[in-house]
Amino acid sequence: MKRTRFLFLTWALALVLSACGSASQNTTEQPGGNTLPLVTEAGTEAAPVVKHLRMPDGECQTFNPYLANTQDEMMNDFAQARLYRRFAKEDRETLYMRPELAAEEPRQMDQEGLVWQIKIRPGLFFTDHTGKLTDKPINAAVFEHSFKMALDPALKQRAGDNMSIYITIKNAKEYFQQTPEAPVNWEDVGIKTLDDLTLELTLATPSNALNVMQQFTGYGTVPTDPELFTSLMREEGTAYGTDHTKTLYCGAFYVTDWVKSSAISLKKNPNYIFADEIKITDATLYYVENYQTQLEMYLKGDLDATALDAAIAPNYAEREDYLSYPARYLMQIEINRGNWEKPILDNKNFKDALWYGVDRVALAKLEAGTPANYIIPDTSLADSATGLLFKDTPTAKSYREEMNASYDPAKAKECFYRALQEEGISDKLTLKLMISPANPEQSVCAQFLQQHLAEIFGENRFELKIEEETDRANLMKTWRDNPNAYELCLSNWSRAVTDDSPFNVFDKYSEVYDMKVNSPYGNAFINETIFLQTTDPRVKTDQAYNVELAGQMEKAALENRLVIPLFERSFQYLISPKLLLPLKEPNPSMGFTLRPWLGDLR
Amino acid sequence: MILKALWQKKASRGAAILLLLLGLMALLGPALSPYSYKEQLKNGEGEILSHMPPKIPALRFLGIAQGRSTLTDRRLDYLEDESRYPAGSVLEVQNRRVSESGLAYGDVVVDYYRYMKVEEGRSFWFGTDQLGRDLWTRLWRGARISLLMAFLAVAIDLLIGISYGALAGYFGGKTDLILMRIGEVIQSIPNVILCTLLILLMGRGIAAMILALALRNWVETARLSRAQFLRYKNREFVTAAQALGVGDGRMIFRHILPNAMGPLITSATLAVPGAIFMESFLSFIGLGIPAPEPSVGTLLSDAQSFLQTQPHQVLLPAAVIALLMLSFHFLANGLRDAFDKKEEAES
Repeated sequence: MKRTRFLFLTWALALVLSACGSASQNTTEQPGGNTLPLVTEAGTEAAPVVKHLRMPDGECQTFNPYLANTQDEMMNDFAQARLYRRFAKEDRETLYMRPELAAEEPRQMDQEGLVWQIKIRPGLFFTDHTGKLTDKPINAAVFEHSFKMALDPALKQRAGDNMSIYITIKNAKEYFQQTPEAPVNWEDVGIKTLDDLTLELTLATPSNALNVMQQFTGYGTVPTDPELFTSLMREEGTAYGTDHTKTLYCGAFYVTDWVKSSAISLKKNPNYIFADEIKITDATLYYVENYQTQLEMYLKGDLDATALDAAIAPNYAEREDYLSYPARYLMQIEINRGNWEKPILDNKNFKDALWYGVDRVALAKLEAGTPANYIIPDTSLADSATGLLFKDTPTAKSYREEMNASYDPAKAKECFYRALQEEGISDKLTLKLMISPANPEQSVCAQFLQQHLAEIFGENRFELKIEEETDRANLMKTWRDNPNAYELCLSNWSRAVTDDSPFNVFDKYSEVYDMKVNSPYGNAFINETIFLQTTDPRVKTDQAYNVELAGQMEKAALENRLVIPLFERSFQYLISPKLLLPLKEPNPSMGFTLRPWLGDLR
Repeated sequence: MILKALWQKKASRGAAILLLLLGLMALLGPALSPYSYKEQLKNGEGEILSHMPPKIPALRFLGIAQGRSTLTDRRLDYLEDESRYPAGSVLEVQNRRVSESGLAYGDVVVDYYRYMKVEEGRSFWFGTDQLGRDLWTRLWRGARISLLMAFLAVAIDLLIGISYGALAGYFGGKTDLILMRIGEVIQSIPNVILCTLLILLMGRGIAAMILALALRNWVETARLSRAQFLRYKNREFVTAAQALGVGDGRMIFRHILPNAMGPLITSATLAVPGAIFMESFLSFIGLGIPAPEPSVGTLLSDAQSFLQTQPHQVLLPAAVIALLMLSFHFLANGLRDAFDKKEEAES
């Protein structure tokens, strides 16, 4: 009995002491699991606030910004800063362009707007994977080296292609596209380090400050340490960015762990320029391939947000945590009009038949999107300062309205039979529609078109065969050497970079921009107009002119049936009520990510 | 005698009846529905009838397959809005709750046919898929195609395997050695890789799928056939036939093969579900027959995204595969026992 009482008293004492001990340490267990002591201004220890954000993500392949692709964007967004970036205003209504690693807006150095200087913030250094500030500086020379790497002709990556989106840096494209027969020296490229903190850009076409800033908001323009980058790329092939411990960070977060094909763990970077404004302390980006699994994790509380599969999104549309994000890309039919085995592909009546033959409303409903009979996305901004969308400009309204009633099965059938007659086809026309494998959206769209068009044109006269092709994108680009490589193809092009320059949507449809040409579009007007931007200064300096020109190009493209637009894909999410996103309403300028690191967790 | 022995066993009798039923449904099922396997069905307003739940009016007394669906997390203040909920479509509201912001939510049980404004009298027995295609028609047509592919693949297996094994077993010696080593080399290639490569080479289609299924499996049949020939070639009836001057071809096909058929038939019966399963697997990973033609595997593959919201789209094809596999296995077991009994009786 005595022994039992003694044991009970000892246990009770231990309990009291342990409780007192906890209280005296003045720490609080947070849901994130970490318990960190924090010293307040008054010198007393306050409860550490751990705000752990858990987001789903695509499979990050590399931290190398110049090799990165869309699926690597989120990590780059969290962990790497740029010269300029759009941040949310305090009212959480709109975004504004803010110098991030740059000290101020670019300075115009000549009358025409051809020479610009960018001042870098003084005293910037990279942070390593432990959160320690390194002695590796971020200065003008680092940026020059970084841009040189982005434009590396040996890699021929998207980052290099994207260096010429908003401004045309003198000889940059020539350097990027150089061949051994026609080499271009880096010294001839209009990117120069003037002093430790000044970078000078010489452009081939005049530009305004907004376009210069926009050019350096992309993740392909983030700085990398020249020494580390060169050593890893030279000694170990393309090893830079494949190991989080051998990567340096300059963004709001640094990477503490990277389990490939699983998760990336990040911590708030105390050395970040705007560290005081970052409220999230920890973040984990989980690679969850399957939307269904993402949804399950979200509903169980393991994620703070989830993207929804288009097919099931309508089931969640009435929930308070549902968010529909504006469309960022168009699904369209590309026509290989250069295919000489199938000359009907270049027949105007056949293209008209496709144009009038698609019930875009029914298709868009299947894909949780918006029917589209235009090329410039509805979210493309004509003026980010006022939020004016291109679709709302008088230019767009003048021709788009009359094209709205484009579904006309009788007219489609008439055009189809006229095309058959013109091409001397008396039997069944069989065409192949190429799609990406394992892309449910394209698969549904293709199967819809397969049956829908056969019903309109007659099953005995038309058959659409669906071909899944792993190397679809590259195969499309081979049309010059291999004109019969494909017939029809579904493509879903993202034009997230079109803000303030709807004109840029047409880059990929011109044959001036070699890297972007997917099909033999063969549109002289578009080729010539795109070429204008290298000679006509108004394109990059006069916003109204840019919009006007974009309208003319879209009108010409639609009349020529350059492609057959089908629908715009919007993105649907469930966002935890705990997560306060930087903007109340989605904004087209946000890009693909929701930029949750700029938000807060309640 | 074989059939009698087979019929006496309850499991194999049940399996045979089930197989007959499934076979009949595969043959006649699509014709029982007014819809084609590829037609994208629409309502009177031209809206595609995606994901319609099963509705079988004859089963009304059981209270199942009534075309009902539960719409979860719905705002209750919208219930009176006829543009969202057509008159008479709302049957019941379950799990009523109020959100933090004070909005009333619930799970709304609706008559989905009214909800989607489907004309009275129209019903889809197994519902429809995402593209509004009738799943009854697609399932039975898919089963027909899966069975056809499996039977043809096994027939090719048997044709090649029996002949190959017969030659190896009957002639023996160097012929046997060379033929069987070649077989082993072929068998050493992983089946999935072989099938994938062949389909990539030939393109997706029924012919490619049948060849892919048959390409490697015949080796197993050849080994069995060889073993049977080795077993029978020194028997008295073979020696007697040889003494009478019977030629090799006649000896193989008229004298030995009929006696060796028992295990081969059993093995072929077991190979059919294997082929069905392989076809389903290849279809599931996207190497199946191209759209819009269905197979049980493609149906499963298409439905996997909707497992939670439309479980019947997965369960029905899965049940057909399971029943086919079980039936073939039970039948094969019965056949094996029947052949064993016959052999015992003969010896």
